[in-house]
Amino acid sequence: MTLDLLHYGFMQRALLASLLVGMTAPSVGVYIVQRRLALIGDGMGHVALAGVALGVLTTGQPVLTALVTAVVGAVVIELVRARGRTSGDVALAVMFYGGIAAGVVIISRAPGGTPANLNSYLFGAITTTSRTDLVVFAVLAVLVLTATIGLAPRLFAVSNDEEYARAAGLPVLGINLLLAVITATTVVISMRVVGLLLISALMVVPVATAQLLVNSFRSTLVTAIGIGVAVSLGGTTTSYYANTPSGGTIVLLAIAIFTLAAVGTSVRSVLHRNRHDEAEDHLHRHGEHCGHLAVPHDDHVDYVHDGHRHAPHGEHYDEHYDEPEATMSSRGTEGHP
Amino acid sequence: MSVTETEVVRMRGGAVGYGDRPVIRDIDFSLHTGEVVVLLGPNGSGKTTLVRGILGLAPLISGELALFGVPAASFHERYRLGYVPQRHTVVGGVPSTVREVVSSGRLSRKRPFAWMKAPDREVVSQAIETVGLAERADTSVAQLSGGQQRRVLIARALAAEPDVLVMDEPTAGVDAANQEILAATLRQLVANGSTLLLVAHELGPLEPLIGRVVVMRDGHAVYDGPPVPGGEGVYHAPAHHHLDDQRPDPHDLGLSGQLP
Repeated sequence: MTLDLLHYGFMQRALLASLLVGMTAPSVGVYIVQRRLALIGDGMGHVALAGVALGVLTTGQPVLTALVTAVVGAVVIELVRARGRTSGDVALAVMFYGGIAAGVVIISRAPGGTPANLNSYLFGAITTTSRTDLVVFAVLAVLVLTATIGLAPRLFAVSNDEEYARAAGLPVLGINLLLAVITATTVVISMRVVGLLLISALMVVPVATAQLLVNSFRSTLVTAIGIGVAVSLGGTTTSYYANTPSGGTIVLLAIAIFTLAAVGTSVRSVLHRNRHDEAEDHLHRHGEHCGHLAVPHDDHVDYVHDGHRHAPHGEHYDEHYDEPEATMSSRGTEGHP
Repeated sequence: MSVTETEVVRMRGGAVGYGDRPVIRDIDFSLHTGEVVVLLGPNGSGKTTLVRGILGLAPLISGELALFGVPAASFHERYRLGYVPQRHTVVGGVPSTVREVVSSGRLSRKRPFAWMKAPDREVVSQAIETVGLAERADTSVAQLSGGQQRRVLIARALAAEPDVLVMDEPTAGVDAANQEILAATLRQLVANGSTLLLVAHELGPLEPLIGRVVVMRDGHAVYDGPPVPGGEGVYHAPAHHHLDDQRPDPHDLGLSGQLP
């Protein structure tokens, strides 16, 4: 495959915009998933559509109006959420659908406001990123990444346990508002290549994929950004050759990788099913005179401990199972520390 | 350090609740440096609410509250109170390791954008060591048992190097082996001179550590004194005088009975 796509200015801009989205969306998404609010980005996309439509109607420059609308919407959403009333859920729904309804109606009144035009904002298109857009996106992406990486410990602490963060004196409301604003900003960065209705997927799916593969927060963040960049560059390139909407292509690619990872990890866990269950905190060291019934088991000795069979394994004890019922029931050693 | 600073918590006539509705009323409560105090009482008696009021998680509706001699409203050194919430899990939507969760406890000592430095990492490792999870430091917390996750929460509180540890039901719902480890951890903290405020249903394995017991019932403190040797049934008995009568009139506190 030649790189003929790079001869076109619009493709260069689309790929650079994809790179920015690919980095920022998962870096915000990791905190959203941590807080189990995977759908909040979707709502912000709905609200941003009203801003896009206003921009199209008034100036023909929708990026800045979308930014203002999305950020204001995000702050309101977070304040409603912080009040924690049950009516908040309904208030959010009204806002989200109000945003998308206003967007559709306003854009239909704009000069050249066609359904095709709307589609490109909702689902992404590779030909639409202007030079000015790219500059704005780059500035916004730097701001978002400064927050998501520079303030990672704080965002993590509040996302992980809000009550503890409050007791520790961290500015919880401020951090939550910051997260809402950078989520809104990421929605705007994505509006050209991924689209307002699909950006939430690029925040969530790479994170969901990464957490299948690694087991720390930091490596989830790094892996998710890697996946995000790969699928957005890959999806944008594919959409050039296949003549498909870039947003949909990117998200389908992300979901394909997620499925691959999910299948891969479950196959691996089936293949490695030699049971290795570590015994719960073991303060007691089993030995010849510990009083626990010693049972020879293949090449080693298990100790019957409180109805379980413990086998020494390095620093800890494993639970062993394949033992006749008779021995399992000898519970004469209960209550050992 | 001034003299008043030895009084870590001072609540006078405190009412704490949610919205405008007080759950606890007329609470006079003090905690001094070096004390090990347990708040005892049945569910709904208000012991957790008292702790939440002290920590600023529930509003003080009336009365006074001072922390380290400073009125609570203008107290900004929250890291001096290490909080171990009554949670059975620390698992969020994204995997995180023991070290990552414990490190989040260090934040209240750090400025925004400041990276963890070697001394911070040392404190975090020490906290993990204290609760006996050094071997599991880089394990995902989702793979730990409930009891081990409680210990992660304690380590997280310790990572701020607090002057006082406030623990809500540290041993509730924890198996015997983990209770033993928790008790050993607390023993070590007490031996190092830590100030502890615990909420509990019963003293259980912690009894030998406890210097003072405050019994809550229906939003009031009905006993404040040393633990009673020979069991805790005495706190729950329907009518008893204070054993260490620091208050002028037990009738004001809803006590009306006679000595057994």
